[in-house]
Amino acid sequence: MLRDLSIAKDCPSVPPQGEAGRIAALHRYRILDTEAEPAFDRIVKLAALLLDVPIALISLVDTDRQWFKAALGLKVRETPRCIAFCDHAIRGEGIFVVPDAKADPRFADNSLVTGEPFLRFYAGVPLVTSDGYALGTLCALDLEPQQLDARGVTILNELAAQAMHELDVRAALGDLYDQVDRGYHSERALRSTNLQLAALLNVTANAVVAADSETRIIAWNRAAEEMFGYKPQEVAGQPISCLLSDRHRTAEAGSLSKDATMRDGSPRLLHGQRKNGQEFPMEAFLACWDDPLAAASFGVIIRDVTLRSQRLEEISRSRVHLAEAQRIAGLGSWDWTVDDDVITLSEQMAWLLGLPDERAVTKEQFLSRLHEDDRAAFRGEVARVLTGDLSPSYTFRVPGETSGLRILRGSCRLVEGWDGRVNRVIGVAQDITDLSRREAVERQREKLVALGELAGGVAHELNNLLQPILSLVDLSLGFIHPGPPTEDELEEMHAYFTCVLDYTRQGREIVRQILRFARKEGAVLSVVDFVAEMQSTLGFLHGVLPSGVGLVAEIEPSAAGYARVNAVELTQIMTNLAVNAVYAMGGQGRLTVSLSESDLSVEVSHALGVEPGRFFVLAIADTGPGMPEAIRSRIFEPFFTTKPVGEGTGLGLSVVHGIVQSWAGAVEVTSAVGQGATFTLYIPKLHDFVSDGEI
Amino acid sequence: MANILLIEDMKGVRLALTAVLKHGGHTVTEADDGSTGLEILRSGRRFDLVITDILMPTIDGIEVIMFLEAQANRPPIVAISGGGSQMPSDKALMLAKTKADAVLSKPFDNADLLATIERLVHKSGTKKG
Repeated sequence: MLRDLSIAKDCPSVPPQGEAGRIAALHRYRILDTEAEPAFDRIVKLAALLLDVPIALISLVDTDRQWFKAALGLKVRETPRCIAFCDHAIRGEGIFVVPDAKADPRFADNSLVTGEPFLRFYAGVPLVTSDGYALGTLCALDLEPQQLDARGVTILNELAAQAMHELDVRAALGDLYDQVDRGYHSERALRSTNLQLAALLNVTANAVVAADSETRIIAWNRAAEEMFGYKPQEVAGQPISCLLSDRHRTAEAGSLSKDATMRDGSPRLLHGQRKNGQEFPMEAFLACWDDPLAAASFGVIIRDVTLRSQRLEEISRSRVHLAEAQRIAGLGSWDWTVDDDVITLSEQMAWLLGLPDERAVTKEQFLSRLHEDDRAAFRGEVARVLTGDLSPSYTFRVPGETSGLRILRGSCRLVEGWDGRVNRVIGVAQDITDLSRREAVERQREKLVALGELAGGVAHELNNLLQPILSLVDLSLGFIHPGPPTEDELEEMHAYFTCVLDYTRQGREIVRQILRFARKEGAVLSVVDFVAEMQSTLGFLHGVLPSGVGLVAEIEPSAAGYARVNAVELTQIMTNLAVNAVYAMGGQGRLTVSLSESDLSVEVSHALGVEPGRFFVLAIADTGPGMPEAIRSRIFEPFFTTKPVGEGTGLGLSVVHGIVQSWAGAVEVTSAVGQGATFTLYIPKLHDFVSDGEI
Repeated sequence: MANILLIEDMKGVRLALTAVLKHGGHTVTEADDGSTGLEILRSGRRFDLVITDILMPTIDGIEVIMFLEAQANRPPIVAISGGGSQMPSDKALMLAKTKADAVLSKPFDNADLLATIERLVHKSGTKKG
């Protein structure tokens, strides 16, 4: 009759004295959880037969369970220790008998009594080792109360002794068992390792090939099959060099040998060839071993590196591309890692700095290549960028190898480094030496264009000045006659010549302005009395603008002082804007030139792209038709023109813009259709400046 | 000798031409711009000849010429111009020149001015007669 005891609940049990030694002894026997053995089965069978009970067990009491080495009448192999009758048996000496568990207060509420299998009778003899530890019991159990007589006690004692003897015999054979076990386990481990390897070989994307000492293929995984296209049976026994491309086989076959592997174990790049003839780049990792019993002599792991090669190719191509583009554009780039102070230079950047062989320099080395007058400014730019400010473009000079200065324009910005910290500055610099030269030519040309536009006005003005000169001198000639001139004649001649003198001087002033305008000179900035220069230009404009255009000057009385500009360029700009306005107004209207001073706030100056400070604000407003946003937003672009083809160069306003910027000023335009246009120049005023003349 | 209206905004030119005309025996009334000139003409004063500059601020010589054109029996007109391309108003200028009886480009000789006046006043006087 089999009964299920496995449903018993967990419960605590108080271990007996010397429990640790007892458990250690039990474990020395290495009996727990071993297979059933006939010697023990036979003992429980005998116990049950001889005592006429349905259940007999050899129970071994472990830390928190009892485990049955042999069990008759129960189908479980263990129960929790806390409900084990045997736990009581091993605490005493000799046989432990419970005639009626239900009547015994120690067991009346035991779940084995109150529930399945409803035990009533228990008799157990401890299995005691030679050193005195009770490992467990041989016990007999019944579902009916019983009295155990002397015969029964003897039977149980004898059988318990037999069981202990079997345990001792078994332990004595332990070493032997151990050896057998070890052999068993190592064989299993080996088999398991082999299985794992096989599974890995199956899933890896790398081809794995093993060859014998004659370099004939003897192992071939699935990836190899996919990579090369050969079934295992197709390559088995083939020389491993059949995996190499036809073109390179002779040269590379030596690399796929055991000797080569022993010489050098590093991966090698070889030319593979698939079954369909396609060649591909492969990377081979070789391993060899010395095992007289193994057929394989060395192995190769092969990786298809087609993609990697393509990427490397792409990278190297884009590198060449970038270098070439930089060379053509005359544009270099640099990358400064702030913490370790290394500035990596692009090839072109190194060349621009005159350090063609350097690729990495320190900040100080970089600065030392700049013209000494530009170093402080450059240092300032970099410091500004480091605080997170955007850097506008700045210009610096690098002394050339042979002659002259190379002019570079650059900008830089702060970026996040690889580690996510903002500690890198990336910059570019472009060689604008030629551009600056061209710009100078362009500006000169623009001046002449503006002058051309004014030619009519200039001629008109000069003709008007010549008229009184011609008429009055002619008239006066009539007064030259024999005899002294009359009082009246003298008086008249005085008035005439006063006028002639005045007009001749006016003519001289116009010619001066024109010459100054057309003079080819570098845009050297000097400190000028801004209001005086502006008024001189106004006088010129007053004479040469068409009379249909009324020129109104509104100069705030408080506006006075100096600015660092180029006076000729100021005339040019004002004339340029005036001529544009006259054109826009169709020769009829009012042109208002106003001058004031203003302190630009940080916001305003930022929007204009200038440093905050005090500015002369020079506005030139016309009463023309104005312009829509689409035109307004583009007028400072070079070559943008609204004039018919052939009438304008489209450079006028871009030149104005460039000039004003070179004065650290700004120009903006406000306009709307039907409301005229106003060009406003912001020119930094020098404060506390005493002119040269006053020193 | 003719009674002449001279409209010219440039002081020096006005001074010079007035002197030349007076020495030539003419009577001169000066107007220092187009609007003053028109005012004088509108007042009904009669002149034997009108000399007007063409390019002047506000009301220019073209308007003066157009006003005279509209008059019956108008006096001869001499337009004087500084010459040179005058940008967009070129067409109006051309028109004015065709309406004027004579055009003199500055700087012109005194003799040319006097001869032109002589010719026009004489022609006009002949017509009248």
